[in-house]
Parts: sequence; C-alpha cells; structure tokens
Amino acid sequence: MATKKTIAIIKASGHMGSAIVKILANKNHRLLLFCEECEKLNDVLTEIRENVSGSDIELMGCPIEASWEADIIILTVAPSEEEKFAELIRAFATGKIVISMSNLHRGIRNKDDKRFKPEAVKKLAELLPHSKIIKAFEGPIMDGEILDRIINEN
Amino acid sequence: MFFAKRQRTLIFRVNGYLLSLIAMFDLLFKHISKRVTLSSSELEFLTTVFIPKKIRKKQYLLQEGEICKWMTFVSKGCLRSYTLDAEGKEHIVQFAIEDWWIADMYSYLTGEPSEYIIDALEDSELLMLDIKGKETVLENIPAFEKFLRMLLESNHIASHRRLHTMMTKTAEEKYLNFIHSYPQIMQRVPQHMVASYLGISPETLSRVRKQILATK
Repeated sequence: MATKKTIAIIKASGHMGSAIVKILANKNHRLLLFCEECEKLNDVLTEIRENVSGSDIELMGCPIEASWEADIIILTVAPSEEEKFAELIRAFATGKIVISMSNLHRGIRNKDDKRFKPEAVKKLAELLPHSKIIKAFEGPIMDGEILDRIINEN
Repeated sequence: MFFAKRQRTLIFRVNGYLLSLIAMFDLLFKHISKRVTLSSSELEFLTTVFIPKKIRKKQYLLQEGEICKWMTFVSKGCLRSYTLDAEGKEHIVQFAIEDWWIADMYSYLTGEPSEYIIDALEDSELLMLDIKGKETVLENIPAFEKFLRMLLESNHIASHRRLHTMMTKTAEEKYLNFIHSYPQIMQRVPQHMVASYLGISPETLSRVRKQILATK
C-alpha cells in the first residue's frame, strides 16, 4: 500500500479550487483545503461525502499550516493573488511540488497561446526558489490525467 | 478596518510559524555542530534543501514495499519504524524522538523497496532530506560528508549493540538497558510498544517491571 500524499489546495472555495477538490477526492489522497469562503464548498463536500467512501478532507484555517503539512501544494488562487500566497508559504514549500493554476484563470491552454506570459512563471520561480514549480494548463489537468501523473511521480 | 485587523492577525500568525521553523532548524544546526563545524552560509544553505513537514499522530511516513526517499530529522514529536510478521504482529525496530533521525537507510541508499513501516506516535515536526537534496548538500558542503559518515557510524554501532543485546541478554537485562539508554522514550511510548521493541511479550515486560519494583 502506498503512503497517502497530503495535498494542500489554496484557495479551495473558488471554481477552480472546488473542481480540483472533486477530481482528487476519490484518489486516496489526504486533502487540506484552505478557503476564505468555506461555505461555498458545502455542496461539493456534501456530494463527496455521499459518493466517496473514506475520503480524507480537512478544512484548514491557514495556508501556511496547510502547506507545512503538505507534500504537494496546488495554488488555485487568482493570478493577482498568486504573489501574495507564494510569499506566505515560501519557507514551508521548500523541496515541495507547487502546482500553479493561474494560467487556467486566464483560459490559457498551452504555451503557444498569445496570452501565456513566461515572465509570470519566472516570477513564481523567483518567489518560490526552492520549490518545484509546475504550471498547469487547461484540459488534461481537469480530467485529472496530468495531475495524477504529477502527484504519483513525486 | 476589518480587513486591516485580519491582515494584522495574518502577519502575527506568519511570524509564529516562521519562529517554529527557525526553532526546527536551530535544533538541526545544534545536532550537526556536535559533530562538524559549518559556516553560517553553509547552515543557511541547509534551509534551502531540507523539506519542512508536519505529520500527525498515526500518519505514515513510509509503508512496506515503498522506497524510502528521505532521511528524516525529528525536530518535535515521536515516530517509530516497524515490520509486520506473517501473522500481522508488529515488531518495532526503532523509535525516534527530538534530535534523532529516522529512515530505512538500506532502502534509502540502495533504492530497493523497504520492508519497514514508519509512522508517527505523536504529532511531529520533521526536516527531511531526499536523495537529490543529500547530493546537493554533499556537493556544496564538503564537511557534511564527514557528518554523514559519523552519523552512519553511530547508527551502525547502535544497531550492533542492539543485535548483541537481543541475542544474549535476558528480558530483565534488556529492559534495564532500555530504560537506562532511552529514559525519555520510556515515558512517551505505550508499554506494549516497549515490549515489541525489546522482543518480549507485554506480559513478560509487566512481570519484569514488577520484579524490578519489588527489589527496589
């Protein structure tokens, strides 16, 4: 039996965050959800509790606490907030995988998209110099396919 | 106004967490400096490589059949490594409390799947060094090689002593040896785990303890 991976999702209450929670809920991971408006997650969590036996999900009051416990951190914050959250979790993200979903907020599908900003990737790498940063693109990741691969390989 | 208050609370919290992290690394630095002297820039480099991790009581760090990817320094808490026999009975190999390391070094060094399980007996705070991190440290801090060699030597000596005790000592001698060597662990782990570590039944341990108390 493989050791459960602990995955922090920051912020889990947005559209993107709750979609990721749904994808990961039945994959035998431990999910730590940081949300600012947790009531928005009520429906999603109720649905998961009814359909997924043995789901391991916990709401966390602080993004740092969630990152400290996590093996993998998924930032589902808006692009404008990414910097703020990256600074908060920096010291606790050393050596960990940080998956940034900020591209998805812009609807960017791949690196060829004209709106893709390589400097944003660079900026995040500067803010989290000792983490392994993975920028997510729409499509496969929302099917869980790429996300699974990233999580299981690390 | 509300927002400002919330921001202040957050800053206070961030500082609290950072202080905890500094305390974790402080313990590691003191631990290393007992064996080798590192410069302040070398110590700072370690903070960019060691992975800070919190683990809760009963959570696993390693399961049987997985490759042990980390050498783990315990800054706070208590963990154990154990193996299961064919009947599912636990045999505890090692406990680790503050200022100790825990890993399946055989699996860590050879990359072969582990036969051991590591889990937390208390909520714990850890600093973990993966294989890539270890290589990076060795490249950048030559003295760390000496530290690692000394660590492995003391690990070897402890394993050898333990093997000798297990093969030649009576239950009473094993118990006395344990409480003498590890008084702090004795107070933190349940009796049945101490018995498992000593390779005796909980009943035998209970009898031995009564005998020792009676002779005092």
